[in-house]
Amino acid sequence: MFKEKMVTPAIPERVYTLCKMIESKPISLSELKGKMEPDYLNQNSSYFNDYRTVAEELGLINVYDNMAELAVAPSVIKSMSEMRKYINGRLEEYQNGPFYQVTKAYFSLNREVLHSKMKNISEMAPLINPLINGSVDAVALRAWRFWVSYLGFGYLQDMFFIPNASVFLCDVINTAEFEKDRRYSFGEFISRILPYSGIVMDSSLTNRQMGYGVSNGLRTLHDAGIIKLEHILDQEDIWNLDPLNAHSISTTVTNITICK
Amino acid sequence: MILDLLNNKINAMKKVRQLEAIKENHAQQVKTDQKYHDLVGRIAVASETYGYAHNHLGFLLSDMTTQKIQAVIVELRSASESGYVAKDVVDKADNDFEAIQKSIKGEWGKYFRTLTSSTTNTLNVIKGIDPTKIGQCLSDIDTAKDWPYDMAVFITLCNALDDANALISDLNMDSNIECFLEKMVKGNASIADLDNKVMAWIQSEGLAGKIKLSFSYR
Amino acid sequence: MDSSIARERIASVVKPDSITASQGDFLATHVSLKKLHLLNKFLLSPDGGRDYTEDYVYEHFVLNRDNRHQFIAVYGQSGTGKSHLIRWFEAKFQYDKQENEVVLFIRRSDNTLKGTIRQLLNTPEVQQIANREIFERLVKATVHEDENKLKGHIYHDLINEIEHDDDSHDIRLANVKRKRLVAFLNNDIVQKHLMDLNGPIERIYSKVAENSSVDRDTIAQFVPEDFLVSADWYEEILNTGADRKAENMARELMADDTGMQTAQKAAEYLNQFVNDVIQLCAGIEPGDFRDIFQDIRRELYRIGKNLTLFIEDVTSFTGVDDALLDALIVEHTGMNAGEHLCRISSVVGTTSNYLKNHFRDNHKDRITQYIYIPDDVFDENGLYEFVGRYINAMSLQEETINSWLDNSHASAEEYPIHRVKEGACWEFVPIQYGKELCLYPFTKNSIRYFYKYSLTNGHQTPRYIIRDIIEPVVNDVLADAGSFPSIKYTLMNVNTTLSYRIQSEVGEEKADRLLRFLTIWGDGTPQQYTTADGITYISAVRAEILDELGFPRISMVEAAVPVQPEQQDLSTATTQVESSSEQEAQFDISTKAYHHVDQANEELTKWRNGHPLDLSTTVGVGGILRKAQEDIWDYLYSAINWGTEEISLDNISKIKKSSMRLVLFENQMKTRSNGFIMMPASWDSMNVISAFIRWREYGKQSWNYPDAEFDAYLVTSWTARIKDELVKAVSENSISEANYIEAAIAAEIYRMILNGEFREKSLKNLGLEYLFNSKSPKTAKTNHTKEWNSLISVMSQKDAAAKNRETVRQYFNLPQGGTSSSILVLDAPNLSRAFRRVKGNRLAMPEGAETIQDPVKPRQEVFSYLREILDRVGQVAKAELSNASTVIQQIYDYFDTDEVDKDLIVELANRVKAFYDAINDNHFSATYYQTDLVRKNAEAISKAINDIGNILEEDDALTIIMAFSGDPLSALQPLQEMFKQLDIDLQKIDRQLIARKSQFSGDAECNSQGAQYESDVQSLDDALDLFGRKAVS
Repeated sequence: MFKEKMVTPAIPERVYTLCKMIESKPISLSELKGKMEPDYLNQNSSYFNDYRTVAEELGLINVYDNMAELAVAPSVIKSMSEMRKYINGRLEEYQNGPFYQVTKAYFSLNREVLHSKMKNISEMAPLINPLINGSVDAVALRAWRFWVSYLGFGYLQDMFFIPNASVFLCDVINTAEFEKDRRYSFGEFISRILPYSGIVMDSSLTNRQMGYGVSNGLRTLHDAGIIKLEHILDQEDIWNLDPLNAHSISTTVTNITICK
Repeated sequence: MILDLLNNKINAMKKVRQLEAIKENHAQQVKTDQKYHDLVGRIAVASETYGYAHNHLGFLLSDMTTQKIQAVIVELRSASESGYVAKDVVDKADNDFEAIQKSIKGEWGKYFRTLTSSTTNTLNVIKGIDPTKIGQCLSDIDTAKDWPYDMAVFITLCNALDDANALISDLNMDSNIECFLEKMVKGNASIADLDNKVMAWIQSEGLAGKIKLSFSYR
Repeated sequence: MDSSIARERIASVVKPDSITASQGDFLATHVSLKKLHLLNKFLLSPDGGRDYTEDYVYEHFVLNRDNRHQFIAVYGQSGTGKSHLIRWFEAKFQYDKQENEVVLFIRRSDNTLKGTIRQLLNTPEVQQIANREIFERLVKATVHEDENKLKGHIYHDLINEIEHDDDSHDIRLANVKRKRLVAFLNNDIVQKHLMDLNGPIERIYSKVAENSSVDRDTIAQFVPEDFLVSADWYEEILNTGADRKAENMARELMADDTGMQTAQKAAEYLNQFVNDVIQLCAGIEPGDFRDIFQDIRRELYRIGKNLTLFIEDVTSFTGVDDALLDALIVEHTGMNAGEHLCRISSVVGTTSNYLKNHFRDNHKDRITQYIYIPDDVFDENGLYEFVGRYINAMSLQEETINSWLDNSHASAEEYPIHRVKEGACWEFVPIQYGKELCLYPFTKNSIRYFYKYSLTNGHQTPRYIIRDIIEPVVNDVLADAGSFPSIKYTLMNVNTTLSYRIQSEVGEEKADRLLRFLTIWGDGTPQQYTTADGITYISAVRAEILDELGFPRISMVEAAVPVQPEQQDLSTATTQVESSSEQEAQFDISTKAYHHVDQANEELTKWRNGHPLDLSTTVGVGGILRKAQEDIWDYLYSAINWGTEEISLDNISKIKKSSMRLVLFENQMKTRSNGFIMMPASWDSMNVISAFIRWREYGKQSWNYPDAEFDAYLVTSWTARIKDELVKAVSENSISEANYIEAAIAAEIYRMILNGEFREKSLKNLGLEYLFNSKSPKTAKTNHTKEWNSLISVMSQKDAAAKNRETVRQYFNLPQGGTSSSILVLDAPNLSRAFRRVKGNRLAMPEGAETIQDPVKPRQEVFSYLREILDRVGQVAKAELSNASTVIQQIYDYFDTDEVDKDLIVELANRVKAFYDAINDNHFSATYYQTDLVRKNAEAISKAINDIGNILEEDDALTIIMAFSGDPLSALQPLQEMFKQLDIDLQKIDRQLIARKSQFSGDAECNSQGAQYESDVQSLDDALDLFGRKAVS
């Protein structure tokens, strides 16, 4: 998923459950599998390795001698949202992995995704593949959707994905440890969150232009009072959100305050 | 208890069936009854004889034979309880009794010899004294040799023994005389055995002519 | 506008029917028609051809300089201004006519026969006619009659006419059918329907009686729709016990295949009698009208005059129109010269349809000229001028207009213009002679908008412009300019961006009004620009106008100053909103979709203002909103990641099956559902809801339409805002601490115990695998009590057991997206925790569940299911125990002991076998009983006896039913059966024994049983004694 191929059985809930099982003590892989996919379910195929791989990829577990142990502090798996914050804080480590690549590509398409006439993300491979290293297929994109929505990059509407990175950005803002109620220039804000958020931003950022999904996220946080976006007239560090005339922050923004 | 109840019923059925069977074959029963009566009669005789022999002659059967005969008697007794004696029971008892009788005979034979030998010997020594009388006595004793089924024989035996003893005691023999007589019967008596007492007894009983001398070659 | 004058004058100026306005006002508001068509032959709606001005038509035809016989028909759709034109002709003609010309003007007045006759009676020409008899009849015809009485007359006269149909009409009905029709019409229910306010009798009545209130262009006739019988109507007819003939007719009219045809025929047939009936009701005779006009013409001829006749609307003569036309087509020359009739020039107005259907062909042929007025009689400027003239006329004192009329014969050059008191900075429209008319309180945009959207097709005529646009808007501004526009018009093509900007910048109370104003009076775009001379336009409305109306200034997106658009023809004119982006063309959004969005927005605006929303229908605007709500549900179900929010998907699927909705709208009528969260009637909600409507209508269920980016933003940011609240509400723990899954597991364990799937005596050995065992429960016959079995059957009612089982299986499933029937990966930690708790609680109802009232029915059902089990399980245990103890006691009794082990049972079996063997051997009669079963199962039987024996003193229901789970009584079955048979057979044998023994009774041998052996026995006893002697005593 994050390093290797994206496969549908490796959904976040299963990864989380796997971690929860070894919260208090290491357990052998066969025992873990026996509990999560017990024989009495009479299933022909096993998915254990799929989600176990993801848990390993994310550094949530270590496996030695067929024993799995938790590789993170128990607080990381206190809840699924804690686990999300943890993962969102280190996505940049997986820049070459398919999840990172696809997410970045999807966000770089901006509002085009709305108008692509494809209502199903699994059909979007032709749109994504030119933008990434390697290629993904419909199955991989279906697998991608579980994580991209879990990690707060937007919302699924049936099989379509509407980009709105508010939850992801909120996590990243927390990770970047801003001072509350202090007015930051937008440029500084970006440079502080960029180490964690390259997945949705172009690292060069020469055009000072935020994409559609990020703009949606910022506006959502602004409307919710979590951050305050401002265009202060005499400021020169002017950045552009994806234009939405109807919104009070229609395009330009110079400053940001983290309120909550 | 159901088990007991079942047993009772099983028996009751058997009995009814038996009665019926008996009724179905009366002639057979008569025969069986006759045989039963005969057998019981024989046993009664045997028991009486035994009782006599026991009482008067001190004869005692071995324990084993006693048990066998008792078993037969008990069986025969219970065989009559249903009112109809079963043929097979009688036949079996009859056979058993035959075998027992053989045992009794054997045991009696042995006992008889120990009972009568000294008397008979003595009688044979003194036979010459009164050959007719003593001969009669000896023959009376001998009739009871083979376990007679007749009380009279035992009575005769008993009387003969009594007579013999009376005869012998009438001879007033002391022990030297008896010893002499014994040696004589054996053919061992010699002149040397003729002491005064013996000579006196021979004289007094008028036996001198009846004693012959010979040489011994030993 | 001068509101001080307009306030007084509006009522008299703004009259939709030209006839009712004063002559001065009439001329002051007259806008010349420039698109008239001239034809020699009737065409219903002629296309193309040259446009003629009204002046041309007047000069060349109406004025009739050649003194010809003429019969001119002016026609067009209802409301296009026929009477207006005729009246204008008449007014002009009065100034231009020859001396010997008599002008007779039959006005539309109230457009009824009575009114028309009254008008005729008032003309001097008619009062002088010689034929007093006819005159008297006419006078009588105008006598007022009670409305209901007259309608009744019409109805019954009609039936009477049918009954006495002499087949003199074109359309004939067979006798049978006619009788059926009469019976049908005589039915009370039918009569009620036909005499309804919208029914045919009312229409006919309205043409006869004065003061009726029906549309003046109504035609007095039956239409097929009058006779289409609906299911309700039919029901009603049946319920009131109709005549069989009437019933048949109704059924025929209701049928899909024949209904329309029959209705059409009935309407056509009945229409033949309408004229007769009207005449009958009016008390006049068919020939009367022809005679009157003949008389008039003779009289005029006598005094050397000619007649010019203006009839605004020939339908005023409904009932006698035929006769009237007969009179008008008679020429004064040729073969009629001997009649001494004067020349007649008639200008007659009629609607296109009336002309088509009610003019006989010979009348149509005799019409000398057709003048057609098209629907869209005005071009764009004509429309502005029309509105401007009305505003002007009402802002002028009556005297001013009258003096214009009197002094200049209403010349255009002298046309008075009012002094603008209100609206100086509003738009003006130029007219002849350099004059300008102020459009206040309109803008050109608003006039175009209203023309396009307020007037339905076929109503875009002067009459409706007056009635539906000028009058309400002017009244609105006169009432209170400060809240203008206060009428809640349906807003079409509302620009989302404009709407959202207004909401975010203007307070709620003014936002609606401003949006309305900028959408209708402005161009509806979220743009502003400032011209070179420093005038700022917001949505193409001068900023001063907004100030004037008390709107706050709001900032819009700066745009370039537009180039003045060229004059457009209204027929092709489109509002700027619609053509705002070329982009839109490529998105292919149908007008229907726009209409749907507009309708929905109107409804939502009302909702925001406190009206309830009705989403109970699937059609119309309710249907659109309902769909939107469903789309919101669907969206939220997929947008919120329930699994990662730690909500079991089983919970979600239960909610989906319940009447609980993720969201409902505030003030939503007629809903039996409840919502986890309520969308308040606010701008915010309205934006989200309408975003979903656009998603469906514009994007055809996609975000592929203009400005969808914003909608997608609205929807997702709203989701982010409500997600936590929704997740919390959906979570089962929002109701109570009690978790339904624990109840489900407990119930499932009970089920397994009761069905014998779990047969252990303690829960200790109950493993998780039992819960997921997919084997379907066996349905073997058991030896349980009816209480036990009825609990099982209660549990399986309505699939409750299967459903509960599925709940248990699915709750901890971690599926890949959505729900799945197969279980692949388990949430093992939570599963074990719940399972342990249930076992620890010994299958009790989870704490707090007793009082739970979960609105999600399938969740509540889980608790109810367990409740049902718990309520009965005590009784079941008791019944089971008492039944078993009876059985076991019997067994004890047989054995005379309560210690029954395997050996004893084997022994019993052997003994029983012996018993039956003995029966066989001893010739007794009883079926041989095989004891093998008992012998073979001796172990199990003794275990069952022991097990039951061990719980006889138990009083814990769960322990008891667990003990009986394995159905120990079934294990005892072979033994019990054997006993049962044994009891029977023992009795049988007893009876047989008695019977068979009886044959020995009285038998000596038997009585003296063993007597023959007495001595033997004695001998034997003696022998035994003798042989028993031991040593010699």
